[in-house]
Amino acid sequence: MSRNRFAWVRIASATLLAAIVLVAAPAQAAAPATAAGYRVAGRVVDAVTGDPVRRATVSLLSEEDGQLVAAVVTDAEGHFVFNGIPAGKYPFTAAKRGYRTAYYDEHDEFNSAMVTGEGQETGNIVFQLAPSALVRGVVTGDGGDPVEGASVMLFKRASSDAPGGHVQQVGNTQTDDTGAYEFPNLSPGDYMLAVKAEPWYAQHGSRISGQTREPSPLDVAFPVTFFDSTTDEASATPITLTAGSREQADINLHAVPALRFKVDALSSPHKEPARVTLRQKVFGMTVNSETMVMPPSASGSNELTGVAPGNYDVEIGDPPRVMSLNATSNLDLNANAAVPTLSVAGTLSMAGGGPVPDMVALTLVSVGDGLEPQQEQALKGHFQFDSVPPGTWMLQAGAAGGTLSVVATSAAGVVSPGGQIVLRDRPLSIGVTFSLAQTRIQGFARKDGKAASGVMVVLVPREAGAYLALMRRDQSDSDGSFSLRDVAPGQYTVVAIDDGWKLDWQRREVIARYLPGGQPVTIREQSGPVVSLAKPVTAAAR
Amino acid sequence: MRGPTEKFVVQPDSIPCANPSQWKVVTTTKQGLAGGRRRRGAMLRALSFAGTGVLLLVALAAQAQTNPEGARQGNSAPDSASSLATVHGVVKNAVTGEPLPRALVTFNGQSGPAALTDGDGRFEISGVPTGLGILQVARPGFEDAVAGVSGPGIQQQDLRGFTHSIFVIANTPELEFAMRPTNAIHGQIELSTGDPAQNIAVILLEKHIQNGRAMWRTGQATHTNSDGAFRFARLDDGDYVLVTEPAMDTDMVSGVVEAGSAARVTWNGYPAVYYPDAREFSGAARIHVAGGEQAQANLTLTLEAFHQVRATVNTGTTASFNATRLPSGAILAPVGAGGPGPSGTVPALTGIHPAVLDPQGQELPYPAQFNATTRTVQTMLPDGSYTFRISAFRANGTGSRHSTFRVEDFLSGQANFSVAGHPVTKLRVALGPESSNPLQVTVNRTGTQTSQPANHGEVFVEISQAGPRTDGMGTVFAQGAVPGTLETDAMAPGAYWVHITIAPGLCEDSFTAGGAKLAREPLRVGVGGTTAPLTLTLRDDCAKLKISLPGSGIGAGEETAYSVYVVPDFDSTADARPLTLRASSGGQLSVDNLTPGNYHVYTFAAPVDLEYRNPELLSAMPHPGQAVTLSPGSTANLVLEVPAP
Repeated sequence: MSRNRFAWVRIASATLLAAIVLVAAPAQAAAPATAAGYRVAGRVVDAVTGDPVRRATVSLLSEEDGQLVAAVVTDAEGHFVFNGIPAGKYPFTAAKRGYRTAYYDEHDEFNSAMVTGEGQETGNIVFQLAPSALVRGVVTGDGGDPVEGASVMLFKRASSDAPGGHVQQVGNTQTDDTGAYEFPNLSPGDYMLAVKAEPWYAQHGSRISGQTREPSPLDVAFPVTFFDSTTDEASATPITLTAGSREQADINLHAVPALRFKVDALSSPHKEPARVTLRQKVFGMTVNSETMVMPPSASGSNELTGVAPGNYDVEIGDPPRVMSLNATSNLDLNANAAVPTLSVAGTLSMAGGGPVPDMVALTLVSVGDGLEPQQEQALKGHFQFDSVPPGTWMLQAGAAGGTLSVVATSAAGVVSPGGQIVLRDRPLSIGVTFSLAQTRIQGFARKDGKAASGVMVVLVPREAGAYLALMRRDQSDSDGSFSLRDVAPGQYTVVAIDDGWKLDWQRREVIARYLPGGQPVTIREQSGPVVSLAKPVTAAAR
Repeated sequence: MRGPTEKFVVQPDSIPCANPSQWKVVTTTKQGLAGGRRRRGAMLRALSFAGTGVLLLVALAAQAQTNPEGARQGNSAPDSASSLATVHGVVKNAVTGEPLPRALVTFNGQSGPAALTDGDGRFEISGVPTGLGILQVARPGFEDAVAGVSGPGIQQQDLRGFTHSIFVIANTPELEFAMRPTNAIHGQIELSTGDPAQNIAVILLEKHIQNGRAMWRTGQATHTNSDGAFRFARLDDGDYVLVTEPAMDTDMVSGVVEAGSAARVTWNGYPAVYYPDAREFSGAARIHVAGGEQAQANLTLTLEAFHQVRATVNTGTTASFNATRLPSGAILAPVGAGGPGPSGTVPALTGIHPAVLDPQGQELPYPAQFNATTRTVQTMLPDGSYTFRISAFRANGTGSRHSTFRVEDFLSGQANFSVAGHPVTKLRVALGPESSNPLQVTVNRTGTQTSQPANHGEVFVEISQAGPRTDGMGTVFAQGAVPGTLETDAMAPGAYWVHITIAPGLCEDSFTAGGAKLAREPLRVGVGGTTAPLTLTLRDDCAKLKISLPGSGIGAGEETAYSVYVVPDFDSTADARPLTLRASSGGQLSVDNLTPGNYHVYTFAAPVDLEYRNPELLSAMPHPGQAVTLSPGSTANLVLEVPAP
């Protein structure tokens, strides 16, 4: 197992608080050290140079709660030794100023815990600690003036070989009075930078007005600007960081006249003040959202000023209609040009026929369209989303007591595995079958007849359409053990892939070629909380 | 890990004519490290005060100062047939006198007309309504400035967002504004180990004037970047002190430790250091910046052994603890696990706030943690002398009838210790109740007042921590009808300044604690919260001073808002609050409730904070002030000598 559940370690790396935890915890957490404990020893080395890292803190944590069990500091050659460690499984970390505090053999949110006991090889560990990478720079405006208080957003491409893999926001900071910003402690990968700012002298007047006003020369805005100083998202230059790299990324902003949107003052057919929501999008993610209510206006319409050019999702009217636009000039926001949102309603049932929980929290997550997640609650097995924009959605469910897996949906008698829903031009009424997904699959990964540590283990559901909803991942620990949690009833294959961490695991076809070497397993409603695989899974080479 | 400055201010919004400076009950800073009870206690007290004391103070404030805003509405500019005019002028750098390009001049706020100054610092704004309007100037790195109001003991207030009052006519004379550059303090931290000094917390303390006294408070906080550099910008002219927060490294004597024996380990870290190289506030260098300075302050931090310090918190009882006795077996709950206990049981202690103090009693930024299970407080400290101060509070079950906040019982205790190369683990801190103190108030009736005022005999006493730093400890209050005996809130040991606000018709004669005159020296609170007997004597033959601006009427162009201090030549616990006068609001004010005696009146052409409790600074001021003698029961008139704008 070994998800990095204990994120505090990272935050606390070099603070006094950490030291207090380090000192305070063992008294309660550690089993009494017995003479018959085990030895854990090795070296911490710089992942780039291979040189020993001295004065690094190496910590063994409790698997259950992340509490510190023991901590040591490396000597001049980077050596560390723990003696008298009871048999058990210990996630462990290393920390040192100038390095990213990391779990052993960390990949994404996974790592390999150290397993101590009879026959376990824990005496010769090499802990590769990567120097932190950073990006920093200066944001300037027209004439080279520093832009203070600019919001600098850092995005990272998903860790995979696949080009165009999805992008996630991983940081946000503000520039200081010299326009400077810095993102320290970054892991290697491909990053994108975007800056959102407002010229300090911008004057938009009142944002909403019933009259068309004379444009003021101070009614200006900075469009969202990407490294290397482009306002075109597609032309953004990625910044590739390796361990220890320090990249300078200066960005120059150019003020342009702020845009004006004309909006009908009244929402037909209800003749109520129109509500307009503007969601500014960067790489498909909402970076700013504002909702305005249009007051009655003699001219029948309102003018909305001070809008920065860029990509927006617009929600307008009642019932809301939606549109996505790339605003480069003044626009009429006409609700009739927008797409109506649709209702998605249905009933829930349990895969095993049991009772449905009284209250289930449902979320529709946009697949590939970058739309806002939609949330509703199902009471006594019934639910209705009132206004969902058309698109492809993944239905996720949760209830008090844990995650629920959507096993299948059915619409007009057609059953589809998994939770994917495609909403086109008419409302949907669906049946949703889900499972409590509380089974844990345990097993061992082996390679060349020995325990395989650090391999990627993937639980692949038989139904291709249910792959993303039902697949699970883990990394094997030092004894090859792994644990796949929250598994729903169904038929699966467990595959283990050595050095598989750069694979685009989100695409089933990438993982599918390893299926022949995998181990099939069937989980039933009656399977109970833990299913142990009878045979080890052989780790395939990538 | 330090949060932004937090202020608990009783909201003046809903109160007509409230001057916010009269309402700042307690200002606190810092989250996380020093968060906790003292501050929260102060807040609760302040808020519960808001339920009871506000009306009193409103009445007092209304009496003391005619509301200029209200007056302005009734006595508005002669012409209100609003036509549109053009105003023009120039913005200059107050330090160099050079014209300031690209300054933003706005008229009547965000939605009004605006312009940037050109290369010669000039601006022209058309479409401005005639009559009185407000104008603001802004530019990053600068703030508004008004000439002639700096000097020892005078601190010009932060004038970012300052509004100039402009009387606009068809051809308004040229306007002129000055902006002074703000300052910055930047520096570089180096570690003795040569490791990168990234993410070291640096805190800036700033000198400010509070109730006529110079005090230090926590200002901005930041962290070093990956090069160990830090920067504080947008600083007003003034004095500053820098301090780092402690940071751990990990170095060990043996290099190896066995599981479970961490208590024997010595951990190394970088102590908290006041720039340039002091462990205590008293040794800190004052960094003075002015005129757009970019001061540099580099620090080197040396790795040292940090030792574990552990104190057992003892909830032992004392004789004076009967009414609110903490029974043995009372539950000590961690911070945040509060709430009154089930009815019929003694409520748990709801806030345990441990703090580490230096030998002068100033709080140090070493975090200490309370463990509810073992009832111990622990921290890690380098060698040195320290005090553990532990405070706690709990609901005592009786709610206040004036607010929804619970009344709390306060407990505290402290222990002095030294760290010298070894862990300190056998400390004990006994928590005892903080006691409230009786305050005897008498009124000398002279009979000169023929009629009793309608609202008589209320007094409000604010008791706030004496410097040098004003954060860390809070403010407590006493209030009620007089003559009679008031009760102060429970007080922690320490030194406090006392300030009083008195209902109309009465003024201070003297305020003493034993033999100590509280107008001259701070109130000393001993262990257990006790003080020498507190005696406040009031008198009813108070004087009144009517002040007025010379001349009358409003000229076209900028109208100066004058800031006036009426300062007694004698010591007083009553505060001299700044009064604002402008021609458009009548140009006169009446100050009541003044203790008879000699006064000096100081007039400034901008809002300033005056260190008026420092006689040496007052006597050295560029303008000596106007002397006025107020006889018992009299009313005096004074035409102000105003500085040239």
